[in-house]
Amino acid sequence: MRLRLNVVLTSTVVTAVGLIVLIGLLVGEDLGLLTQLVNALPFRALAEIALRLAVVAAALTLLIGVLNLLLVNATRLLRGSTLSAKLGSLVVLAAFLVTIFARLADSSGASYRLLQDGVLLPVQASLSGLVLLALVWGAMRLLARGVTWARVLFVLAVLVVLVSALPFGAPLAEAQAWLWRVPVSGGARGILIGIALATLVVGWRVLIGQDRSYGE
Amino acid sequence: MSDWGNKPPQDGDDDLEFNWLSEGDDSQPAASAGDDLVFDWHSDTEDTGASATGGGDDFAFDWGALTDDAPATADIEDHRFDWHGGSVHGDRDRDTGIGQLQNVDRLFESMERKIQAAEDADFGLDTGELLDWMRDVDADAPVEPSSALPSWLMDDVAESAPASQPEPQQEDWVARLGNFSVQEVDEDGNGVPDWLDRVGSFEDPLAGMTEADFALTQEEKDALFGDFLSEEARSTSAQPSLADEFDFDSLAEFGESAPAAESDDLAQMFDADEFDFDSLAEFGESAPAAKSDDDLSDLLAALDDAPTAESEVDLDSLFAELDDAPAPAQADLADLFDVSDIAELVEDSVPSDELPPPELPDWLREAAQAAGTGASVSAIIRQKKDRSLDELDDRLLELREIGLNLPIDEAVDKGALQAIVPDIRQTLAPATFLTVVDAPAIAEMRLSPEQAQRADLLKRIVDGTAAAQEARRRRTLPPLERMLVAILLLATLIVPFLLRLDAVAPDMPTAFAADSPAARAYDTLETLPEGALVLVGFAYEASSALELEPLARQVLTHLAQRDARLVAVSTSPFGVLRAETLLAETQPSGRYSVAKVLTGEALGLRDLTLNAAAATMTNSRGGRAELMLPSLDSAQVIVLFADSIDTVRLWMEQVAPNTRTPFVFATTYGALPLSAPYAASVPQVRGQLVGYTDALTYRNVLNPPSTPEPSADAPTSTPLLPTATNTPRPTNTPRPTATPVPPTVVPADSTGVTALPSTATDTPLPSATASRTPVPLTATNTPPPSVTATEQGSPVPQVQVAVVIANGTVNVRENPSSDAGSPVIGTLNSGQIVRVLGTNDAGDWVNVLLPNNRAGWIARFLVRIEERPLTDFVPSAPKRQAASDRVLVGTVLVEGPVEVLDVPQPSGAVLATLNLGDTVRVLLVQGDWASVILPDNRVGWVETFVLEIREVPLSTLFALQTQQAGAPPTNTPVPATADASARVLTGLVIVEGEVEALDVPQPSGAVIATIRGGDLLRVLNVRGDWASVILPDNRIGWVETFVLEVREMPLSEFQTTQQLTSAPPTATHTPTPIPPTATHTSSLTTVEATETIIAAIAEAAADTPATPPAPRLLDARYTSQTLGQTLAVVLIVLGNLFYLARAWIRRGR
Repeated sequence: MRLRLNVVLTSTVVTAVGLIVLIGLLVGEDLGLLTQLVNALPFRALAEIALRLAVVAAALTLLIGVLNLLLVNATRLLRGSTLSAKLGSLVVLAAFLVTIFARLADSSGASYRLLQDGVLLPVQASLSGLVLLALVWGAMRLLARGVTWARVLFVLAVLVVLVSALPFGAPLAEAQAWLWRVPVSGGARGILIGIALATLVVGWRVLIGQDRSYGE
Repeated sequence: MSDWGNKPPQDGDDDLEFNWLSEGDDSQPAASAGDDLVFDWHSDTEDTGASATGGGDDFAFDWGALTDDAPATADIEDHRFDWHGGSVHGDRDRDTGIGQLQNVDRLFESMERKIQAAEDADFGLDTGELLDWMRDVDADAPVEPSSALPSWLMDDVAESAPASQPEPQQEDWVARLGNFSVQEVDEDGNGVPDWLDRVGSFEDPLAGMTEADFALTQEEKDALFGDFLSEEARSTSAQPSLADEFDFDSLAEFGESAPAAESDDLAQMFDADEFDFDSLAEFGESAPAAKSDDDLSDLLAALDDAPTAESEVDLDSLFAELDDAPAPAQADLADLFDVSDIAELVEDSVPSDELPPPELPDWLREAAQAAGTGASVSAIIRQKKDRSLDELDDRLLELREIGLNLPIDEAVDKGALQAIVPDIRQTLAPATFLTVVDAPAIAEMRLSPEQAQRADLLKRIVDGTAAAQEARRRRTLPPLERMLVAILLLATLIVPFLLRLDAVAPDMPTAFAADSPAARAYDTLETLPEGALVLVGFAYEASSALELEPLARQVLTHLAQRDARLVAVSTSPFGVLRAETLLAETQPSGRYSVAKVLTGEALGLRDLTLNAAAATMTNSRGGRAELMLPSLDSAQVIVLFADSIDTVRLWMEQVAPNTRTPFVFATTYGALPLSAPYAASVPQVRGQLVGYTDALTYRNVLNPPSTPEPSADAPTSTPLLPTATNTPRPTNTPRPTATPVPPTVVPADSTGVTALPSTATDTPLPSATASRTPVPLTATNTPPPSVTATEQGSPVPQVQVAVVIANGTVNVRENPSSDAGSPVIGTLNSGQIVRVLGTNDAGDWVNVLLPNNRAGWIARFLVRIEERPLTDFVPSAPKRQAASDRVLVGTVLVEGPVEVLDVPQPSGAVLATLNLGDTVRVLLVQGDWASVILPDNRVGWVETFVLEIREVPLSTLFALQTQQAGAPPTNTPVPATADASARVLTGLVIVEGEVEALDVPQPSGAVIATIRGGDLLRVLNVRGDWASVILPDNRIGWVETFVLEVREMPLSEFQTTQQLTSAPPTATHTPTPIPPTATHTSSLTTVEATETIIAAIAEAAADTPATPPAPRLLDARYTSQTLGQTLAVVLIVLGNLFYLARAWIRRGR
C-alpha cells in the first residue's frame, strides 16, 4: 500500500498539535516532574498559540463562507438558468446589503434593531413554528412503519417529556415532578455521559490519526 | 464502431489482450472481462506492438506473433492482417517489443516462411484450430492486463491501466450481455463460459480448415505449441495449412529489398531489417500448393483498408472468398513453421493429457503464473471444442444473421473489424432499453425477464420516462391527513387570540411553586444586595429569541429593581446585539456594560475565566467598557440565557469550575431536559427558569395581573417597566431609602472598575422602575422609632448589623453550632448586611435576622459588626400569593394598644400598635414571637400570647382586614362615649388647587384621591416628608407634608371644622383604586380587589388614556401555548395508538 505524503503530513501535524495543546492545558502546577517538563518546554505557549490560530482560522473560515455565499448568489443572479433562481439570489444579496448598510448608516442602531425585531426574529420564529408542525407530524407517525420495541420506547420517552411539561397544575404536579426527576433527568444524564465519552473517543481517534477528515 | 485496424492505442487503454470485441481498440480498458472471454487472443497481436499503421496483423502473423511474444508482430505493419482487430498500435513502443525479439528470432524466421506460404493460399482456418493455437500462446495470461501479459506489456499496462477498472462503455456489448462472463455461466466448471463453449467456429471463413492444414509433426507441435493445440482441435475437420494460405515465399521479398509489398500496409508490417524474409521462403518451398497470390492479395487488400466506424464490409463475401479458396493440401505444420524455438516461448497452462508442458521463457511463465485463477480468453478458447453452427448461442446466431444481412460498403477498410463484420458496432451494441429503432438492421435486444425488470428499475431511478414525470405532476397536494393535523394545530394556536377560552385554559400562574428551581432562581435574585455586580451571559440564537427574551426581560427588570450592575457577555455577535437591545430597554439607570464578543466559543469562555478583566475591558463598540468584571468571583451571581444544552454545558465546564459565583439559568424548553440535571445536582446552580411559562409567572410576581400595564410583550417597548403615568406595583415591599448613607456611591479604582458598594443593604431601595426619575433620596417611608405623632422628631436609632465579609456564600444555621444538630436554614452572600439580634455566650456565633424574617446563627468570624440606622432594615413582606392560599393570621386578643416591635426582643423599637380585634397576617412564629405584616406593609414582631393565630384563606384575611379598615375611622362622628376633648393631629391643605393623595408615601404611589386646598384632614402620623391622613371617604392615604399645615386641635373642633370645609373627594383618576387596606397590603391579591380594580378602570376610562389590553394578550398567548402543547401530546398519543392497533390487527390476520 502506498502511503500518500499529504495524508502522512497532515496526520502528523494534527497529532503533534493536539498533543501539545493537551499537555499545555492539562498539566497543572502540582504534578512534579511532569510539571517541570512542561514548564521547561514551551508547551503552554504553543498551546495558546495553537488556540489563537484555531480561533483565527475559524473566523477566516466563516468569512470565506460568507464571501463564497455572496459569490455564488451573484453568479446565479447573473447566470441563473431560471427566473426563480435569480430572484432567490437577488433576495439574498439585497438582504445582505440592506443589513450592512443599515448598520453602517445608522450609528444609533435603531434601524438595525428594527431589522432584527421586525424581520430576523419573526422569520426565525416562523421557521421554528414550522418545525413544530413537522415534528408533531413525525411523532404521530413514529409507529407507522412498523411497531418495534425501539420505536415504542421512543414514543414513550417523547410523551414523558411532553407530559411533564404540561402546565396543568396540581392534579398532575406530583406525577410530573416524578417524571421530570426520574426518567427525564436520568435520560438526560445518560446523554451527557454519552456526549462526554464520545468526545473522548473522537479526540483519541484524531490524536492517533485514525480519523482523518482533514486530509482527504 | 470498433476500430480494428486503425485506431491507435491510447495510453491506459491497454486491454491488450482481449478487447477486440469491445471495439477492438485499446480505448476500452481491460475492465470488460467479457472482452476477454473469446476474442482477446488476437488482441494480443495488437498489444504486442503491432503495426504502426494499425493495420493489425494477419491472424497468421498474430499467432506467430503470439508465439514470439509479439515484438516481431510489431514489425508486421500490414494492418490488413489485423483483422481481428484493434491492433492499431502504431504508437506502441515497438522498440520495447523488438527488444524482446532476441529470444524469438529463430522462431520468427520460421514464421516468416509460413506467412509467405499462407499468403499465397486461400486459407480457411478452422477457427477452432487457430483459436486453439492462439489461445495456447497466452494460455495462462489472465484477464487482468496487469497480470496477463508479458513483462514488457505488463509494465505498460501497470503504468497506464487505470487503478480501477472502469465501467464498460456503451458499446461494450460483451460487458452488457448480462451474465456473459466466465464466472457466471460456467456450469461445467471448466472455466469457460457455457456460451463460449457453445461458440463454434465461424464456419464461413474457416470452414473446412482442419489441423491438418497446419500439419506439424507431433514433435514439432509439442515443441512449438505444447498445450496450444488440443487433441480435439487436431482431430477436427481438415483445415487448410498455413502454408497453403500464405505465400511465405513472397515475404522473402521484403527481406531482400526495401519493403515493396503489394500493399503498403504489408510493407509496413514487415521491417526488412528485422525479418529474415528469406527464411519465409522455406515455407513456400515446403508448403503445399498455395493459392494464387491474387486471392490472398485480395483478401489482404480487403483487410488492409483502414476501417472506419461506418464502414461496412460484406462479411459473407469476404468469407466466401475464403470458402472458395481451394482446400489446401494437407500441410504439415512442421513444414510451415520451424517450431523448434517456439517451444521455448510458449507455455500451455491448460493441462493436456497428450502434450507435455512446454518449455517457456521466464517472462511468459511468470505471466502465466501471475494469471492466477483468472481465466484468459485464450485459455478458454483453447478449451473450446469445435462446435457446429447449431450449437452457437442464440445471441451469436442472431449476430451472425444480422451481420450477414448487412449491406456492404465498398469503401470500408477491409482490414478493420468493421470490414470483416459489417456494422459491428451497431451489431454489437448493448441492449437498448428504448423502443427506438435506429436503423433497419438495428433492433432491440431481447432481454430476459430479469433484465427487463432491472431495466425498468433503472428507468424509474433515472426518471427519464414520461410516466415518472406524470406521477410527479400528480403529486401536487400533500396527504390529506397531514393537512388536517396542520390545520388543527394552527387553529389551536390562533383561536385563543380570537376568542376567550377561559373555560379550557388553566389559570395563569401567579407565583412560582414552592421550592421549585424557578422559585429558587427568583429568590437568588431577590436577595441580591444593592448594587451587586452581575455577569449576564447571552447565549442564544435568533430562532429562540422570541421564546427566551420575554423571560430575559423579566429577569433583567428584576435585576434593575435590585439596582444591580450588569456586565453582559456573549460568544456570538447576535448575543451581543440582543444584549444591547434588552439592556437598553430594561436598565434605565444605565448601569450596565456589554463586552465585546468572546470569540471561539469555548475558547472565549476560557479567556473569560482566565482573565475576566481583559475579556470585559472592551465594550461591543470597541471602546472602553463602562463596567468591567475584575474576576468571576467578584460577581454576585451569573445569569445565563441559553437556548441549547451545548451552551449550558460549555459554561458548566469552562466557567463554573473556576469560580464560586452562583449560577441562575434561564433557558428555553429545548435546553431544559439536559440542563435540568445541572440545576438539580450542582450546588452552584441556584435555580432555573424555563421558557414562556416562567416568564409569565415572573411577570406576575413582579407585576400582579391586577395592575393593567401597557402592551406587555411588544418587543420594541418596555412593557414590564411601569412608568410614572401608570400604577406602579414594583414590589410588595416598602422601600426605605438609606437616607444617611448614599446608596450607590462607589469609588472607582485606577482601572476604571467600580468596586462593590460598601453600603449594600439587604433592603431594597425605592423602586427605580417606578418612574423614570430617581426617587428622592430624602423621602423615606420608614417611620422614626416611635410612630406616634407625639414622638415625632426623635433621633433615628442606630442598630447593630452584620456585614458578611467572607467570600462567596455563608451558611446560616438554626443553632449556634456547626454540627449535625444545627441544620442550615439559609445562606447569605458576601457583602450582605443583616440585623444582629444578639450573640451566644461564647461570642463566637451571631444571631441575625435573615431577609425572610427568620432568625439564625452565623459564625462570628464570617461577619463584621457595625451600626446602622434602623431605617435601613425594615424587612420586606414575602412574595405575593394566590387568593386561595391559606395563610396564618393573628387576631389581637388583649385590650389596649399592642406594640409591634422591629425585632423579636422586648428591647426592640416600636413600629406600630395594634388594638383589640385587629387581624394581621402572621409570617412565622419563632418562639414567643410572631412576625406579622402591618397594615403599612412593614413587618414587625409581636409576642404570641397576645394573638390568636389560625390559618385562613388569603381572601378571608383580606375580607377581615377590609372589614376592619371599614370601621369608622377616628374622623367620623365618634360615639357619645368618646372624649370629644381629646386632641388629634390635623392637617390643613394650604396649597391651592388639587392635591393628590397616594397610597404609599412615595411620589410613585398610586393616586387614590384628590383633595383641595382648604380641606382639613385628620393626620394619623407623619413620616418624614409624608403624612398619613384619613380621607373624607374614610380611606387612608399619604400626602406630602409641605402641602399641609399640621397642628393639633380638639377632636370636636376638628369634626366641626371638617364638616364645614371638607368636600367629598373627587372621582379618582387612578386606574387602580385600592381598597382601604389593600393600599397597605399590596402583597395581597384577592378576587374582591381585582373586581374593584376592574370597576375602577371602567369608571375612569373616560379620563384616562386607554391602555392596551395587555392581560388579554397575555392570557391569549398563555392559552395558545398551553392548548398547543396539549394538542401535540394528544395527537402523538392518538396517532401512535392507531398505528399500533393497525399493526396488531394485521398481525392477527
